[in-house]
Amino acid sequence: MRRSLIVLGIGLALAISGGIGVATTSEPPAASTDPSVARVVPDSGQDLTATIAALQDTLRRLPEDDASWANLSLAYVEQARVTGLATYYDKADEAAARSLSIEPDENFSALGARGAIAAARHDFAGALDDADQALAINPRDLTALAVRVDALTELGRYADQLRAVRAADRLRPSTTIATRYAYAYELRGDLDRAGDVLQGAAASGSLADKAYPLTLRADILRKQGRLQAAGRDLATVRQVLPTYLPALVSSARLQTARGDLEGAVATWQSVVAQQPLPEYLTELGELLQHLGRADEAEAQFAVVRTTIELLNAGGVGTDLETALFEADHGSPARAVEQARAEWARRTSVHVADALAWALHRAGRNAEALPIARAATRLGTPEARFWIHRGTIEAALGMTAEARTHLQRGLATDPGMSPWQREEARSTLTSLTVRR
Amino acid sequence: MTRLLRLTVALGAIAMCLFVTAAPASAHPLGNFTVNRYTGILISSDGVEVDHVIDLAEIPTAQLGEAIDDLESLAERECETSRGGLELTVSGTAVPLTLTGSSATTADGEGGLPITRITCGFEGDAEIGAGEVNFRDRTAPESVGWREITAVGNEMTLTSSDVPSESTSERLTAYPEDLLTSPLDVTSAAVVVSPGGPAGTLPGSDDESPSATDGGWLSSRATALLGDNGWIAAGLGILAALALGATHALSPGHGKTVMAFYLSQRGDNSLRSALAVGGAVTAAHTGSVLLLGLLVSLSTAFVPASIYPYLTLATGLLILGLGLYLLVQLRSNEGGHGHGHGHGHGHGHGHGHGHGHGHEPSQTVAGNGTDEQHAGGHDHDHHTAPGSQSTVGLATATVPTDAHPDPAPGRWGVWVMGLVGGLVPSPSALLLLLAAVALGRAWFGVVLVLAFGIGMAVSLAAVGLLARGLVLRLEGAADRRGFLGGNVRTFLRYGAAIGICAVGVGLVVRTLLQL
Repeated sequence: MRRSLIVLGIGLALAISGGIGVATTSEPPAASTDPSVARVVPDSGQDLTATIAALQDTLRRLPEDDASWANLSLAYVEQARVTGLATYYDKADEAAARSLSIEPDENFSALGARGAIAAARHDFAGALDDADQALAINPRDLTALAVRVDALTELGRYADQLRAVRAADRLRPSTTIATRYAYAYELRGDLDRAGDVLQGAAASGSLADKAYPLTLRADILRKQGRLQAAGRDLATVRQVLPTYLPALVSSARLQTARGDLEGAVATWQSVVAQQPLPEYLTELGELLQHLGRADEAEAQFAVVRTTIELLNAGGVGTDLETALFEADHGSPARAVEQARAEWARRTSVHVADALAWALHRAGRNAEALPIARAATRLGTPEARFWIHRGTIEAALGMTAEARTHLQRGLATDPGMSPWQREEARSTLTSLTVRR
Repeated sequence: MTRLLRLTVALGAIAMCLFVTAAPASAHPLGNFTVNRYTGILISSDGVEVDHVIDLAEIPTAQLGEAIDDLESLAERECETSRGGLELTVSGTAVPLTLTGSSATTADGEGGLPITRITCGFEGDAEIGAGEVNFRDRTAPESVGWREITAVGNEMTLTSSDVPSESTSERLTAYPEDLLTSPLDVTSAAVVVSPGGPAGTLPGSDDESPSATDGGWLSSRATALLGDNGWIAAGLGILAALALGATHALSPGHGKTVMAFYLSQRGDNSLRSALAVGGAVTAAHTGSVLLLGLLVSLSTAFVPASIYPYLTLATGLLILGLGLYLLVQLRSNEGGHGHGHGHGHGHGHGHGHGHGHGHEPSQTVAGNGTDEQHAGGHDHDHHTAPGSQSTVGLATATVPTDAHPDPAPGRWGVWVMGLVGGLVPSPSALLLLLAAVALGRAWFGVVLVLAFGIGMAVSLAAVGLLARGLVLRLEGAADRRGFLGGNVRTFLRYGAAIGICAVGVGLVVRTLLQL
């Protein structure tokens, strides 16, 4: 869940960075100082639609303007994030390709845009490659710096990630980088410092600029059990952007943490009405299952299955979220297959967790254990990771470790799916009974 | 000639590049979890008619669950839900909408998964005089997808409107995929109306217009070009119109055969004849498109498609008349006694033609055709008399044609040829004009139509000249070998005249059968 938020966030941050990058580039080989080139600075009171219209207009008159094509590509990526319209990713892709075909050399803006699109499509190796190419031309390009950090994170190269985010923060201190810095701390279990960094980021900029860091901080506060403070942050965001999706998701989890499960159902329902992504549908389904509304839960799961069918039909490899879904509500064998394929590409803690859990569901606990350990190698405060590890250890008869890890998981995030928590609790009880 | 041909080919290639770049549509062009909504508003003096279409991609369809098994009640329920989100106010007063009809269909999307299309009809009763009509679509405010609104007046004039009258997506059936256009996200419309005006219909309710076949992409592209103020875009637009005209003329039924026959009749000044005929085609086509455009914009009730058969019939009669005239001229050149005969014929045709038009609602255009034809007919009479110099004898046929002595009938022939090539206005040209008018750039539209006509003319003349070259070469070869006792040209001339008659008769009969 955290990951999907991050993926959504990538778009925001990237587009901000794209705009700033184009605006303040130290070495402008791609004619980006041209005053007629509209800049993309989202959530800054700027009308993104108007910016896009201006860029489109420029390009109708000057179809050979590579800098505008690159900018338009970034604007489309941002619009894809804001509207959720996948068609904008295709347009962004084409615009970046156009820019690169006009100016194949020294075109760091287009390379950065291409990297951002690759990351949004979960091709993190490709994203890293593009970001590296862009940074070889302009080491201070904010888009590329941010894409690079994200790609390293998702590929599971955490040592490189920390180095990259520190270097980026020195070169271009900004909200874009700050959110990534905070995430690096969060992954390593340092929620206090992550919260501080986000607070710093939210202190500057317009109200609309603050929405993203504030939402992220609300998540961290919830994990720390500071539910009231989290609620205040989300209320601030809601005032500025009433339908901001990440904040809505965070609110649903906060309601779950507070025990307002009916309220959480309603919030989740408006989330999936906006964007029926598999991870949201699964979380709503599990909540309904927990409430004993099996039919409604099954309806949500049916939509997830349709999504998986669609992804297969489109030739897109299924996702990490769908692997977790298959493990819990579908075929564990397929889940193992998918997670293993992903694990061969990248070794992030999230992939490790999905693979370990799929193996457990398939009854292969011995294989699962080392991978579950890999998932918790950073000490990430993700309730699921610890509950999964504890459950695997319980299945292997490692009672002491199992109890420690299950308890740690249950203490980590009260906003986690109550169905999963329920399962964890009953496992814990059975351990106690056994003793 | 080859240069002309090359030019034509080049123009055709440009047209291809400009207009055939749209990629084939994939499963759902806007992404498989979009919910797309279109609203068409028709404003009459006694109320408002609302056409609301919901296009659900694969995942929202899956979210409907089992509701999809009963399409009828699904449509009713969804329309009833949507009704709550559609807000209509007339001069500040809210007008409640009532559901008048609903239907739902499913189709195959990506991977064979179903997608859903729900159509709702609403009505709101209100006394509407001069004033403001506001509409707001508040259904599922943050759902992802295309949102579009159109507004039309029915015997009401929209003096100002912030939404178009035509649907860009053709009511969610054809989403534009141009890299430089964004998906629409229009959720409100503000319209100022005044009473009076032509009858109007909602977009999509008159699928029989000539634009139905290719109107979608053509008009959207033409509009895209027209909407731009730059000189480059204007130049491109003109080039595109030229190329469109050239390619249009190459499609069947534009008198190319007649043109070939006709030019093969002319003497050595054939290039000049070709240019003259080209000019006449351009003039005739531009004139007829402008007239038709005027009629269409004056009355929405006027359906251009209905007059096409009559215009084709007129063309056929013109061709027949031309053929007969040529025959008569040949006969008179021989001896002069066939003169009166041909005369009578020409007249008779003009008459019948006028009759055919008399029944038409579109009398102005038809009348115009008739007038010109009549004028032609009259001048036939007029000029045939002085043109009947019997200086040209049969035996000396090869020599005197080089110094063709009667330019006057030739000129009228040119005009008839122009009408033959240009009387039937091309729907594409008409669309270009209407799109330009809709954008308030009528003059540019006229220029485009002119360019279109020139393109047609170039194309026709090129084909005609090519054919003529071929005929002349054959003739030369036949002459050298002494076929037909040296009278090859005479035979060819008769052949050509009879051929033109045959084409004319064919066209008339075919059109009459269709009527």
